[in-house]
Amino acid sequence: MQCGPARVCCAGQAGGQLSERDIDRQLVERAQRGDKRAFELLVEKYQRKLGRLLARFIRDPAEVEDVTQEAFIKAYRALPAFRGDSAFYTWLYRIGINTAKNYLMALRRRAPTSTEVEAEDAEGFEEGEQLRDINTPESMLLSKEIAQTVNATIDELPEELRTAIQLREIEGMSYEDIARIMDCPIGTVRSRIFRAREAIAERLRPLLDTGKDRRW
Amino acid sequence: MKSQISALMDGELDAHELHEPLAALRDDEGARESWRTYHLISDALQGRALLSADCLHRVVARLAQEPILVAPHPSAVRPPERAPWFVPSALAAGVAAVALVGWLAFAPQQGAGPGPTPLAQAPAAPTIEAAKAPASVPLTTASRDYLLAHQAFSSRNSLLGLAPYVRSVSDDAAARKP
Repeated sequence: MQCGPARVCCAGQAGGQLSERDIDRQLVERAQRGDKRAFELLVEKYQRKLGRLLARFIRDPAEVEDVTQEAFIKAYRALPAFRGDSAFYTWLYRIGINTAKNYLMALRRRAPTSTEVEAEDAEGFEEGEQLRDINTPESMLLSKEIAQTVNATIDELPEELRTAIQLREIEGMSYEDIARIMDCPIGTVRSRIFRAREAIAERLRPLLDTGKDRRW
Repeated sequence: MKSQISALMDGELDAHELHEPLAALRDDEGARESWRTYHLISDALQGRALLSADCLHRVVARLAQEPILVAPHPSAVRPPERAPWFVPSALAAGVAAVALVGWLAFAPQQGAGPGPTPLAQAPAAPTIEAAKAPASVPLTTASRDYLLAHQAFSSRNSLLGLAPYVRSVSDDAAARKP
């Protein structure tokens, strides 16, 4: 079974497993109880996805980052009112789109109606080929280096690790489906995906200054 | 722990496994670095462009200036799920409790009926019943006045519904007639 781009849809549906939406809700509830770090985890998770969405409205990469930042702060302030009726990212995207529109109105610009994304579509939204690159010159180089390193490392991975991480990240499959395809236990899938991620992370570390001042 | 974080970001943890990685993500910078890097890898594999490193840094810096939220826990506000039989059972129990209290409060007390107890007609056969029956004592005028003045304190007028562990006195006007 494949989920397509919105891989959250099939993650963790069986038994007592938690879906990505459940995980987000856990983090939101912790943030609502005063745990700012829980909200930071959500920022770290969704910043690029939100930035990509906002780039449909705003041309300047630096402005995209400003609006992304503003949207997260607005979301944090509105968090007490978030009741979990929708997925967190649907709610966040609605805030992001409104923030972008307000920003453009303030600049007396007009939002590109032809590519406008309704908030209701956010759950299934995935960036298309027609979207512009939002990289600043600084991040563009690093983005390229990171992408090359990730791809090169994946090519060097043992077959079973490469297949597992690709089925998960690119095809959006659940561990259960990957286990069925690879004919192995779910625990083995979990281990293979983790080992693949660690191998890639190890190769990325020289590129990423993960000190407090330079977090990606 | 990193393995759990990897599964956590995929939504592939069981509910009972959740506490440990979430606690690590709160307290352990190494765990948080793994969370960040795994999401970076995921975004890179899915072709998402990166924002500059400063973007996250600025968001975190601004968050630090925001007040800490104290919103109520949604699950604490949400009413707990009840079994289907809970509501009718609770209603029946409530009605029964009200009926019991009402009966205790307003039911005629034993030996303190609305009229004088017809002592003369009490069955005389069981000896033990005769021993339990209140004595019929001729009252003086002073005693009657006293009882009339204090009838407000008699157990019969009590609305508390508690068992009246006090002696009751009734005046048989007919018995006083010559």
